[in-house]
Amino acid sequence: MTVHETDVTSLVFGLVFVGTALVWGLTELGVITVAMLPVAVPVVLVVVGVIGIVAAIARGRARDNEAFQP
Amino acid sequence: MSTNPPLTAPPLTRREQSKVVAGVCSGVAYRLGIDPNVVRVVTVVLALFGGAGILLYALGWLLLPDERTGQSLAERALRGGGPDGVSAVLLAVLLAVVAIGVGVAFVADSWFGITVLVVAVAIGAVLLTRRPVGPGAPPAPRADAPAGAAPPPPWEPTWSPTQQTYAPHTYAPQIYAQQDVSPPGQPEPRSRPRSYLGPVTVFAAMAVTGVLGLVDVTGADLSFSTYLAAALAVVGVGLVVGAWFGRSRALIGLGAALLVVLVPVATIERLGIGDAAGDAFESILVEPSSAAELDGTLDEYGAGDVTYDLTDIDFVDRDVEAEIRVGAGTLQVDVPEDVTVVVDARIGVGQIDVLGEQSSGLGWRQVQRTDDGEADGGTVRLVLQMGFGNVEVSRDGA
Repeated sequence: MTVHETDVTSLVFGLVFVGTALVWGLTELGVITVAMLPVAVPVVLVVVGVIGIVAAIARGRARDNEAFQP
Repeated sequence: MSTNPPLTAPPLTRREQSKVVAGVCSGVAYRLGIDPNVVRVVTVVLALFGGAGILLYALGWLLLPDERTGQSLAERALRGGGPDGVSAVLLAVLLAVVAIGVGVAFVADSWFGITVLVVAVAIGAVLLTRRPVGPGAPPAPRADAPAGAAPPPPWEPTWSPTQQTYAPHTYAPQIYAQQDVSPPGQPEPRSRPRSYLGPVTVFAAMAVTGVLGLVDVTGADLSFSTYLAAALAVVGVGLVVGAWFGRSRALIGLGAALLVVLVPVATIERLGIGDAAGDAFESILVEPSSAAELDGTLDEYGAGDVTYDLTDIDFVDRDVEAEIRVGAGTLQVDVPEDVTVVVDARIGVGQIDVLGEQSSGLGWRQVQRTDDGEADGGTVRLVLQMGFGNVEVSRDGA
Protein backbone atom coordinates (compact mmCIF):
# COMPACT_ATOMS: atom_id res chain seq x y z
CA MET A 1 0.00 0.00 0.00
CA THR A 2 1.30 3.37 -0.93
CA VAL A 3 0.94 6.48 1.15
CA HIS A 4 -2.02 8.57 0.13
CA GLU A 5 -3.29 11.97 1.11
CA THR A 6 -4.24 12.14 4.79
CA ASP A 7 -7.77 10.88 5.37
CA VAL A 8 -8.73 13.16 8.24
CA THR A 9 -12.02 11.39 8.95
CA SER A 10 -10.28 8.06 9.33
CA LEU A 11 -7.55 9.65 11.45
CA VAL A 12 -9.90 11.44 13.83
CA PHE A 13 -12.20 8.50 14.43
CA GLY A 14 -9.23 6.20 14.85
CA LEU A 15 -7.73 8.50 17.46
CA VAL A 16 -11.07 8.80 19.27
CA PHE A 17 -11.31 5.01 19.50
CA VAL A 18 -7.69 4.55 20.54
CA GLY A 19 -8.05 7.39 23.05
CA THR A 20 -11.17 5.85 24.55
CA ALA A 21 -9.48 2.48 24.89
CA LEU A 22 -6.50 4.25 26.47
CA VAL A 23 -8.66 6.04 29.01
CA TRP A 24 -10.38 2.75 29.81
CA GLY A 25 -7.00 1.04 30.26
CA LEU A 26 -5.63 3.78 32.51
CA THR A 27 -8.79 3.60 34.60
CA GLU A 28 -8.49 -0.17 34.92
CA LEU A 29 -4.85 0.17 35.94
CA GLY A 30 -5.78 2.78 38.53
CA VAL A 31 -3.72 5.56 36.95
CA ILE A 32 -6.94 7.53 36.48
CA THR A 33 -9.69 7.34 39.06
CA VAL A 34 -13.34 7.34 38.14
CA ALA A 35 -13.56 10.83 39.59
CA MET A 36 -11.05 12.01 36.98
CA LEU A 37 -13.04 10.69 34.02
CA PRO A 38 -15.02 13.92 33.57
CA VAL A 39 -11.66 15.57 32.89
CA ALA A 40 -9.96 12.73 30.99
CA VAL A 41 -12.69 12.24 28.40
CA PRO A 42 -12.92 15.91 27.36
CA VAL A 43 -9.11 16.07 27.24
CA VAL A 44 -9.13 13.22 24.71
CA LEU A 45 -11.75 15.03 22.64
CA VAL A 46 -9.81 18.31 22.75
CA VAL A 47 -6.54 16.65 21.76
CA VAL A 48 -8.14 14.65 18.93
CA GLY A 49 -10.14 17.67 17.81
CA VAL A 50 -7.02 19.84 17.59
CA ILE A 51 -5.19 17.12 15.67
CA GLY A 52 -8.18 16.91 13.33
CA ILE A 53 -8.20 20.66 12.75
CA VAL A 54 -4.48 20.75 12.07
CA ALA A 55 -4.68 17.75 9.74
CA ALA A 56 -7.64 19.21 7.85
CA ILE A 57 -5.92 22.58 7.39
CA ALA A 58 -2.68 20.91 6.35
CA ARG A 59 -4.51 18.84 3.79
CA GLY A 60 -6.42 21.84 2.49
CA ARG A 61 -3.20 23.79 2.05
CA ALA A 62 -1.55 20.88 0.29
CA ARG A 63 -4.49 20.78 -2.10
CA ASP A 64 -4.36 24.52 -2.72
CA ASN A 65 -0.67 24.35 -3.49
CA GLU A 66 -1.28 21.50 -5.84
CA ALA A 67 -4.03 23.43 -7.58
CA PHE A 68 -1.76 26.39 -8.26
CA GLN A 69 0.85 24.29 -9.88
CA PRO A 70 0.50 24.09 -13.65
CA MET B 1 -29.65 5.35 -0.74
CA SER B 2 -32.13 8.17 -0.91
CA THR B 3 -33.43 7.07 -4.26
CA ASN B 4 -36.94 5.80 -4.58
CA PRO B 5 -37.28 2.13 -3.82
CA PRO B 6 -37.33 0.01 -6.92
CA LEU B 7 -40.53 -1.67 -7.95
CA THR B 8 -38.77 -4.97 -7.71
CA ALA B 9 -36.36 -5.19 -4.83
CA PRO B 10 -32.80 -6.02 -5.83
CA PRO B 11 -31.90 -9.65 -5.25
CA LEU B 12 -30.25 -10.53 -1.97
CA THR B 13 -26.63 -11.07 -2.89
CA ARG B 14 -23.18 -10.59 -1.54
CA ARG B 15 -22.18 -7.22 -2.88
CA GLU B 16 -18.74 -6.55 -4.16
CA GLN B 17 -19.21 -2.84 -3.81
CA SER B 18 -18.56 -1.23 -0.42
CA LYS B 19 -17.84 -4.56 1.18
CA VAL B 20 -15.62 -4.96 4.20
CA VAL B 21 -15.23 -8.70 4.55
CA ALA B 22 -17.37 -10.66 2.14
CA GLY B 23 -20.12 -8.20 1.24
CA VAL B 24 -22.87 -9.90 3.26
CA CYS B 25 -23.84 -6.83 5.29
CA SER B 26 -23.55 -4.65 2.21
CA GLY B 27 -25.84 -7.00 0.27
CA VAL B 28 -28.42 -7.17 3.04
CA ALA B 29 -28.37 -3.40 3.40
CA TYR B 30 -28.73 -2.93 -0.35
CA ARG B 31 -31.68 -5.25 -0.38
CA LEU B 32 -33.30 -3.39 2.51
CA GLY B 33 -32.36 0.00 1.15
CA ILE B 34 -30.51 1.08 4.28
CA ASP B 35 -26.98 2.11 5.12
CA PRO B 36 -24.58 -0.85 5.27
CA ASN B 37 -23.13 0.48 8.51
CA VAL B 38 -26.47 -0.06 10.24
CA VAL B 39 -26.38 -3.72 9.29
CA ARG B 40 -22.73 -3.93 10.29
CA VAL B 41 -23.38 -2.45 13.70
CA VAL B 42 -26.25 -4.87 14.32
CA THR B 43 -24.09 -7.78 13.19
CA VAL B 44 -21.21 -6.79 15.43
CA VAL B 45 -23.45 -6.31 18.44
CA LEU B 46 -25.02 -9.70 17.81
CA ALA B 47 -21.57 -11.21 17.39
CA LEU B 48 -20.35 -9.80 20.68
CA PHE B 49 -23.34 -10.99 22.62
CA GLY B 50 -23.45 -14.69 22.19
CA GLY B 51 -22.04 -15.07 18.71
CA ALA B 52 -25.29 -14.92 16.77
CA GLY B 53 -23.81 -12.28 14.47
CA ILE B 54 -20.92 -14.59 13.55
CA LEU B 55 -23.35 -17.41 12.91
CA LEU B 56 -25.55 -15.30 10.66
CA TYR B 57 -22.60 -13.81 8.83
CA ALA B 58 -21.09 -17.22 8.19
CA LEU B 59 -24.41 -18.49 6.86
CA GLY B 60 -24.82 -15.41 4.69
CA TRP B 61 -21.33 -15.81 3.29
CA LEU B 62 -22.03 -19.45 2.59
CA LEU B 63 -25.52 -19.21 1.14
CA LEU B 64 -25.97 -15.81 -0.49
CA PRO B 65 -25.13 -15.76 -4.17
CA ASP B 66 -22.25 -13.65 -5.33
CA GLU B 67 -23.67 -10.77 -7.34
CA ARG B 68 -21.15 -11.27 -10.08
CA THR B 69 -21.52 -15.00 -10.65
CA GLY B 70 -25.01 -15.53 -9.26
CA GLN B 71 -23.69 -18.57 -7.46
CA SER B 72 -23.42 -18.95 -3.73
CA LEU B 73 -20.21 -20.16 -2.20
CA ALA B 74 -21.85 -23.39 -1.09
CA GLU B 75 -23.09 -23.97 -4.62
CA ARG B 76 -19.67 -23.34 -6.06
CA ALA B 77 -18.06 -25.62 -3.52
CA LEU B 78 -20.51 -28.42 -4.21
CA ARG B 79 -19.89 -28.18 -7.93
CA GLY B 80 -16.22 -27.87 -7.29
CA GLY B 81 -16.19 -25.40 -10.09
CA GLY B 82 -14.45 -22.22 -10.85
CA PRO B 83 -10.84 -21.33 -11.25
CA ASP B 84 -10.45 -21.21 -7.48
CA GLY B 85 -12.34 -24.44 -6.85
CA VAL B 86 -10.09 -25.66 -4.07
CA SER B 87 -10.20 -22.48 -2.03
CA ALA B 88 -13.97 -22.26 -2.54
CA VAL B 89 -14.40 -25.73 -1.09
CA LEU B 90 -12.02 -24.97 1.77
CA LEU B 91 -13.76 -21.70 2.57
CA ALA B 92 -17.19 -23.30 2.39
CA VAL B 93 -16.17 -26.12 4.72
CA LEU B 94 -14.61 -23.66 7.13
CA LEU B 95 -17.70 -21.48 7.15
CA ALA B 96 -19.94 -24.48 7.65
CA VAL B 97 -17.80 -25.61 10.58
CA VAL B 98 -17.92 -22.12 12.02
CA ALA B 99 -21.67 -21.88 11.59
CA ILE B 100 -22.28 -25.24 13.22
CA GLY B 101 -19.69 -24.59 15.91
CA VAL B 102 -21.02 -21.17 16.83
CA GLY B 103 -24.52 -22.59 16.84
CA VAL B 104 -23.47 -25.29 19.29
CA ALA B 105 -21.42 -22.88 21.37
CA PHE B 106 -24.32 -20.45 21.37
CA VAL B 107 -26.43 -23.12 22.97
CA ALA B 108 -23.71 -24.32 25.30
CA ASP B 109 -22.81 -20.74 26.24
CA SER B 110 -19.18 -21.38 26.89
CA TRP B 111 -16.62 -18.67 26.44
CA PHE B 112 -14.06 -21.25 25.48
CA GLY B 113 -15.99 -22.58 22.51
CA ILE B 114 -16.71 -19.12 21.21
CA THR B 115 -13.12 -18.07 21.67
CA VAL B 116 -11.75 -21.01 19.74
CA LEU B 117 -14.23 -20.36 16.99
CA VAL B 118 -13.40 -16.69 16.78
CA VAL B 119 -9.72 -17.52 16.46
CA ALA B 120 -10.51 -20.16 13.84
CA VAL B 121 -12.62 -17.71 11.86
CA ALA B 122 -9.94 -15.06 12.03
CA ILE B 123 -7.13 -17.35 10.93
CA GLY B 124 -9.18 -19.05 8.25
CA ALA B 125 -10.56 -15.84 6.87
CA VAL B 126 -7.16 -14.19 6.69
CA LEU B 127 -5.74 -17.20 4.87
CA LEU B 128 -8.61 -17.53 2.46
CA THR B 129 -9.22 -13.92 1.60
CA ARG B 130 -5.61 -13.41 0.79
CA ARG B 131 -5.68 -12.26 -2.77
CA PRO B 132 -2.85 -12.33 -5.16
CA VAL B 133 -1.67 -8.78 -4.63
CA GLY B 134 0.49 -8.90 -7.67
CA PRO B 135 3.44 -6.58 -7.70
CA GLY B 136 2.41 -5.73 -11.23
CA ALA B 137 -0.94 -4.41 -10.08
CA PRO B 138 -0.83 -0.66 -10.42
CA PRO B 139 -0.86 0.87 -6.97
CA ALA B 140 -3.47 3.55 -7.41
CA PRO B 141 -3.02 6.51 -5.14
CA ARG B 142 -6.64 7.58 -5.10
CA ALA B 143 -7.74 11.05 -4.41
CA ASP B 144 -9.69 11.05 -1.22
CA ALA B 145 -13.18 10.22 -2.41
CA PRO B 146 -15.92 10.25 0.21
CA ALA B 147 -16.23 6.52 0.77
CA GLY B 148 -19.79 6.51 1.96
CA ALA B 149 -21.33 8.66 -0.72
CA ALA B 150 -19.37 7.48 -3.71
CA PRO B 151 -21.37 7.54 -6.91
CA PRO B 152 -21.83 4.22 -8.68
CA PRO B 153 -18.35 3.39 -9.87
CA PRO B 154 -17.69 1.97 -13.30
CA TRP B 155 -17.64 -1.63 -12.12
CA GLU B 156 -21.31 -1.61 -11.15
CA PRO B 157 -22.76 -5.10 -11.12
CA THR B 158 -23.53 -6.83 -14.33
CA TRP B 159 -27.18 -7.55 -13.60
CA SER B 160 -27.95 -4.04 -14.64
CA PRO B 161 -31.40 -4.66 -16.17
CA THR B 162 -32.92 -4.53 -12.72
CA GLN B 163 -30.85 -1.53 -11.87
CA GLN B 164 -31.89 0.48 -14.81
CA THR B 165 -35.50 0.27 -13.76
CA TYR B 166 -35.09 2.25 -10.62
CA ALA B 167 -32.58 4.85 -11.65
CA PRO B 168 -34.77 7.84 -10.94
CA HIS B 169 -32.69 10.37 -12.81
CA THR B 170 -31.83 9.29 -16.24
CA TYR B 171 -29.24 12.00 -16.55
CA ALA B 172 -27.38 10.70 -13.54
CA PRO B 173 -24.90 8.51 -15.42
CA GLN B 174 -23.62 11.48 -17.36
CA ILE B 175 -23.12 13.50 -14.23
CA TYR B 176 -21.37 10.66 -12.53
CA ALA B 177 -19.32 10.11 -15.58
CA GLN B 178 -18.17 13.70 -15.48
CA GLN B 179 -17.39 13.58 -11.81
CA ASP B 180 -15.50 10.39 -12.24
CA VAL B 181 -13.28 11.81 -14.86
CA SER B 182 -9.78 11.87 -13.50
CA PRO B 183 -7.71 15.00 -13.52
CA PRO B 184 -5.90 15.21 -16.81
CA GLY B 185 -2.55 13.57 -16.84
CA GLN B 186 -3.44 11.26 -13.99
CA PRO B 187 -5.10 8.26 -15.55
CA GLU B 188 -7.32 6.51 -13.07
CA PRO B 189 -7.60 2.75 -13.23
CA ARG B 190 -10.95 1.30 -14.13
CA SER B 191 -11.36 -0.08 -10.67
CA ARG B 192 -9.33 0.84 -7.69
CA PRO B 193 -7.73 -2.11 -5.97
CA ARG B 194 -9.52 -3.16 -2.85
CA SER B 195 -7.75 -2.13 0.30
CA TYR B 196 -7.14 -5.07 2.58
CA LEU B 197 -6.65 -2.83 5.60
CA GLY B 198 -10.31 -3.14 6.66
CA PRO B 199 -10.45 -6.94 6.70
CA VAL B 200 -6.98 -7.17 8.24
CA THR B 201 -8.07 -4.88 11.08
CA VAL B 202 -11.29 -6.79 11.66
CA PHE B 203 -9.42 -10.08 11.79
CA ALA B 204 -6.73 -8.60 14.03
CA ALA B 205 -9.45 -7.43 16.40
CA MET B 206 -10.98 -10.91 16.34
CA ALA B 207 -7.62 -12.52 16.98
CA VAL B 208 -6.86 -10.17 19.87
CA THR B 209 -10.27 -10.88 21.36
CA GLY B 210 -9.62 -14.59 20.93
CA VAL B 211 -6.22 -14.37 22.60
CA LEU B 212 -7.82 -12.54 25.52
CA GLY B 213 -10.43 -15.30 25.68
CA LEU B 214 -7.67 -17.88 25.95
CA VAL B 215 -5.95 -15.84 28.65
CA ASP B 216 -9.30 -15.63 30.40
CA VAL B 217 -9.70 -19.41 30.26
CA THR B 218 -6.32 -19.91 31.86
CA GLY B 219 -7.58 -18.12 34.91
CA ALA B 220 -6.77 -14.45 34.51
CA ASP B 221 -10.47 -13.59 34.88
CA LEU B 222 -10.76 -10.70 32.47
CA SER B 223 -13.76 -8.44 32.51
CA PHE B 224 -16.05 -8.15 29.51
CA SER B 225 -14.97 -4.58 28.93
CA THR B 226 -11.40 -5.82 28.45
CA TYR B 227 -12.49 -7.58 25.27
CA LEU B 228 -14.39 -4.57 24.06
CA ALA B 229 -11.61 -2.10 24.82
CA ALA B 230 -9.00 -4.31 23.15
CA ALA B 231 -11.10 -4.68 20.02
CA LEU B 232 -11.78 -0.94 20.05
CA ALA B 233 -8.07 -0.17 20.29
CA VAL B 234 -7.29 -2.44 17.33
CA VAL B 235 -10.04 -0.86 15.24
CA GLY B 236 -8.75 2.59 16.21
CA VAL B 237 -5.23 1.71 15.14
CA GLY B 238 -6.60 0.36 11.87
CA LEU B 239 -8.34 3.65 11.22
CA VAL B 240 -5.27 5.69 12.08
CA VAL B 241 -3.23 3.59 9.69
CA GLY B 242 -6.00 4.09 7.14
CA ALA B 243 -5.47 7.82 7.35
CA TRP B 244 -2.36 7.34 5.24
CA PHE B 245 -2.36 3.79 3.88
CA GLY B 246 -5.20 1.99 2.20
CA ARG B 247 -8.80 2.62 3.18
CA SER B 248 -10.50 1.67 6.37
CA ARG B 249 -13.34 4.14 6.83
CA ALA B 250 -15.88 1.36 7.03
CA LEU B 251 -14.32 0.53 10.39
CA ILE B 252 -15.82 3.68 11.86
CA GLY B 253 -19.17 1.91 12.18
CA LEU B 254 -17.53 -1.03 13.91
CA GLY B 255 -15.62 1.22 16.30
CA ALA B 256 -18.76 3.20 17.07
CA ALA B 257 -20.61 -0.02 17.89
CA LEU B 258 -17.83 -1.14 20.21
CA LEU B 259 -17.72 2.29 21.85
CA VAL B 260 -21.47 2.34 22.38
CA VAL B 261 -21.27 -1.05 24.09
CA LEU B 262 -18.04 -0.43 26.01
CA VAL B 263 -19.23 2.63 27.90
CA PRO B 264 -22.26 1.06 29.61
CA VAL B 265 -20.47 -2.24 30.20
CA ALA B 266 -17.50 -0.54 31.84
CA THR B 267 -19.89 1.58 33.90
CA ILE B 268 -21.73 -1.50 35.08
CA GLU B 269 -18.53 -3.22 36.01
CA ARG B 270 -17.55 -0.17 38.02
CA LEU B 271 -20.90 -0.14 39.76
CA GLY B 272 -20.48 -3.82 40.51
CA ILE B 273 -17.14 -3.23 42.16
CA GLY B 274 -18.88 -0.68 44.31
CA ASP B 275 -16.36 2.13 44.37
CA ALA B 276 -17.04 5.84 44.31
CA ALA B 277 -19.70 5.64 41.62
CA GLY B 278 -21.46 2.79 43.38
CA ASP B 279 -21.64 4.63 46.66
CA ALA B 280 -24.27 6.92 45.25
CA PHE B 281 -26.61 3.97 45.31
CA GLU B 282 -28.67 3.05 48.26
CA SER B 283 -27.41 -0.04 50.04
CA ILE B 284 -30.10 -2.42 51.16
CA LEU B 285 -29.52 -5.50 53.27
CA VAL B 286 -32.36 -7.97 53.69
CA GLU B 287 -32.10 -10.83 56.17
CA PRO B 288 -35.24 -12.92 56.26
CA SER B 289 -35.40 -14.78 59.57
CA SER B 290 -37.00 -18.00 58.38
CA ALA B 291 -37.74 -20.01 55.29
CA ALA B 292 -41.43 -19.40 55.78
CA GLU B 293 -40.87 -15.66 55.71
CA LEU B 294 -38.86 -15.87 52.50
CA ASP B 295 -41.20 -18.25 50.66
CA GLY B 296 -43.36 -16.54 48.09
CA THR B 297 -41.59 -13.22 48.43
CA LEU B 298 -41.83 -10.79 45.54
CA ASP B 299 -39.61 -7.81 46.30
CA GLU B 300 -39.00 -4.92 43.94
CA TYR B 301 -36.38 -2.19 44.16
CA GLY B 302 -35.73 0.80 41.95
CA ALA B 303 -32.00 1.37 42.14
CA GLY B 304 -29.46 0.31 44.70
CA ASP B 305 -27.06 -2.30 45.94
CA VAL B 306 -29.37 -4.95 47.25
CA THR B 307 -28.07 -7.85 49.33
CA TYR B 308 -30.12 -10.79 50.49
CA ASP B 309 -28.45 -12.74 53.26
CA LEU B 310 -30.10 -16.16 53.45
CA THR B 311 -27.19 -17.88 55.15
CA ASP B 312 -28.88 -18.15 58.53
CA ILE B 313 -32.07 -19.69 57.16
CA ASP B 314 -32.71 -23.38 57.69
CA PHE B 315 -34.01 -24.77 54.39
CA VAL B 316 -33.95 -28.45 55.46
CA ASP B 317 -36.82 -30.36 53.85
CA ARG B 318 -38.26 -27.20 52.43
CA ASP B 319 -38.74 -25.95 48.91
CA VAL B 320 -38.79 -22.18 49.00
CA GLU B 321 -39.32 -19.77 46.13
CA ALA B 322 -38.59 -16.05 46.08
CA GLU B 323 -38.56 -13.42 43.38
CA ILE B 324 -36.43 -10.27 43.58
CA ARG B 325 -36.43 -7.48 41.02
CA VAL B 326 -33.99 -4.58 40.86
CA GLY B 327 -34.13 -1.79 38.30
CA ALA B 328 -30.46 -0.79 38.37
CA GLY B 329 -27.49 -1.49 40.58
CA THR B 330 -26.38 -4.79 42.06
CA LEU B 331 -28.21 -7.72 43.53
CA GLN B 332 -26.33 -10.17 45.69
CA VAL B 333 -27.87 -13.26 47.24
CA ASP B 334 -25.90 -15.29 49.76
CA VAL B 335 -27.18 -18.81 50.24
CA PRO B 336 -26.18 -21.45 52.80
CA GLU B 337 -23.69 -24.20 51.98
CA ASP B 338 -26.02 -27.13 52.03
CA VAL B 339 -29.05 -25.91 50.11
CA THR B 340 -29.81 -26.84 46.51
CA VAL B 341 -30.12 -23.67 44.49
CA VAL B 342 -32.24 -23.14 41.39
CA VAL B 343 -31.68 -19.76 39.84
CA ASP B 344 -33.57 -18.12 37.02
CA ALA B 345 -31.74 -14.86 36.47
CA ARG B 346 -32.60 -12.33 33.78
CA ILE B 347 -30.81 -9.09 33.08
CA GLY B 348 -31.27 -6.29 30.59
CA VAL B 349 -27.64 -5.21 30.49
CA GLY B 350 -24.90 -6.44 32.78
CA GLN B 351 -23.35 -9.50 34.32
CA ILE B 352 -24.68 -12.59 36.02
CA ASP B 353 -22.56 -14.62 38.41
CA VAL B 354 -24.32 -17.63 39.82
CA LEU B 355 -22.04 -19.61 42.14
CA GLY B 356 -19.02 -18.73 40.03
CA GLU B 357 -20.66 -19.31 36.64
CA GLN B 358 -20.44 -15.99 34.89
CA SER B 359 -22.15 -14.63 31.87
CA SER B 360 -22.59 -11.12 30.67
CA GLY B 361 -24.35 -9.34 27.93
CA LEU B 362 -27.49 -7.79 26.72
CA GLY B 363 -30.89 -9.27 27.39
CA TRP B 364 -29.26 -12.22 29.03
CA ARG B 365 -31.00 -15.01 30.82
CA GLN B 366 -29.40 -17.73 32.85
CA VAL B 367 -31.19 -20.65 34.39
CA GLN B 368 -29.15 -22.80 36.65
CA ARG B 369 -29.64 -25.60 39.05
CA THR B 370 -27.06 -26.87 41.46
CA ASP B 371 -27.10 -30.23 43.12
CA ASP B 372 -24.02 -29.79 45.17
CA GLY B 373 -26.13 -28.99 48.18
CA GLU B 374 -26.77 -31.81 50.57
CA ALA B 375 -29.54 -34.23 49.68
CA ASP B 376 -31.91 -33.15 52.39
CA GLY B 377 -30.62 -29.62 52.67
CA GLY B 378 -33.74 -28.28 51.06
CA THR B 379 -34.18 -26.21 47.93
CA VAL B 380 -34.35 -22.49 47.31
CA ARG B 381 -35.67 -21.25 43.99
CA LEU B 382 -34.61 -17.74 43.11
CA VAL B 383 -36.13 -15.72 40.30
CA LEU B 384 -33.87 -12.70 39.92
CA GLN B 385 -34.46 -9.82 37.55
CA MET B 386 -32.13 -6.93 36.91
CA GLY B 387 -32.59 -4.11 34.45
CA PHE B 388 -29.11 -2.63 34.39
CA GLY B 389 -26.37 -4.03 36.58
CA ASN B 390 -24.94 -7.16 38.15
CA VAL B 391 -26.55 -10.18 39.71
CA GLU B 392 -24.54 -12.48 41.94
CA VAL B 393 -25.50 -15.60 43.85
CA SER B 394 -22.85 -17.00 46.15
CA ARG B 395 -22.44 -19.62 48.81
CA ASP B 396 -21.90 -18.77 52.42
CA GLY B 397 -18.54 -17.09 52.82
CA ALA B 398 -17.54 -17.67 49.21
